[in-house]
Amino acid sequence: MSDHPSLMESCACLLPALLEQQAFVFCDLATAAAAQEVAADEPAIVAEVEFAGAATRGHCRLGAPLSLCREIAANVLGTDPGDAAADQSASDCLKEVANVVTGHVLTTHFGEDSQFVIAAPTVRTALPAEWHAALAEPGTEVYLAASQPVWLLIGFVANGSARGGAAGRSHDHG
Amino acid sequence: MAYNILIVDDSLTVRQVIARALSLAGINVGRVHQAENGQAGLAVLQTEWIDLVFCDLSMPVMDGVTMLQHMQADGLLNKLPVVIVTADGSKSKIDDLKSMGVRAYMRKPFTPEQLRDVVNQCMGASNE
Repeated sequence: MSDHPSLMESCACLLPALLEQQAFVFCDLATAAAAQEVAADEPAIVAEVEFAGAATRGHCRLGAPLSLCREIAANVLGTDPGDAAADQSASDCLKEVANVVTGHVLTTHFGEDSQFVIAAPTVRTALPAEWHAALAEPGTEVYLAASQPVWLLIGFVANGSARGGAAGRSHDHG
Repeated sequence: MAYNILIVDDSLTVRQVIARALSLAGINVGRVHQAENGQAGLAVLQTEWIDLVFCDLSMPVMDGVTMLQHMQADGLLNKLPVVIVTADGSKSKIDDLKSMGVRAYMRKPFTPEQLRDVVNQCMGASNE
């Protein structure tokens, strides 16, 4: 049994704090049902970061509707909402948020003495039906930011195991 | 004195955020050069006078550690101050980087004030 805090405890406050620091966007934990109620019929951007340590590997997946990603990008870049440069940076900006969240989750959960290789983030577009369903996936933490859903899924597995999707399956040191 | 800065990061967003933070921090900046990976960063260093480098770790083509190794092997570049900008908070990794000549480390996200402190630490000057 691990001495570390549970993964959910590690993550629950991190994303709101980091989004506030990086993008001046305030978000709160929510239920999947509440998020699905306000989920708009628009595509979403999903950023994923893989990481590997000596004993553990895993991934961090962060998703948000396109319009919220554009708002986050405008805030990060200090431009006005609707600015063309911010719109073009929406994917890149979510990748960066996912990268920062991953780094902080790993340190918070495994401690500053652990060492992980964090891969460059990747990004893709998700259609409404896909991401609306993702909000209710087991292990997914759902938040509301500017009345829009943001979701975070972090999966850890011990090296040598098959990759698992649910968060907190293995908590050994990296 | 105006500093010529090189920002090496595969994310255009991060490069823009650092450039903007330098301005917000009131740092006297000359030219800001940008490169999307270590190889492109080294190419800039061969042709431009640079006073300070901000560098990411994880990048395609050539990562930050490899770029640092090339700089360490170059008699003209091995004294150039390098600040690593990363989300990674591993102490042992930071210690490893400092042993490779990295002058400072800045963890994302950062404020313009933190950036100013790091620049002052590296350049030994007050930008207030």
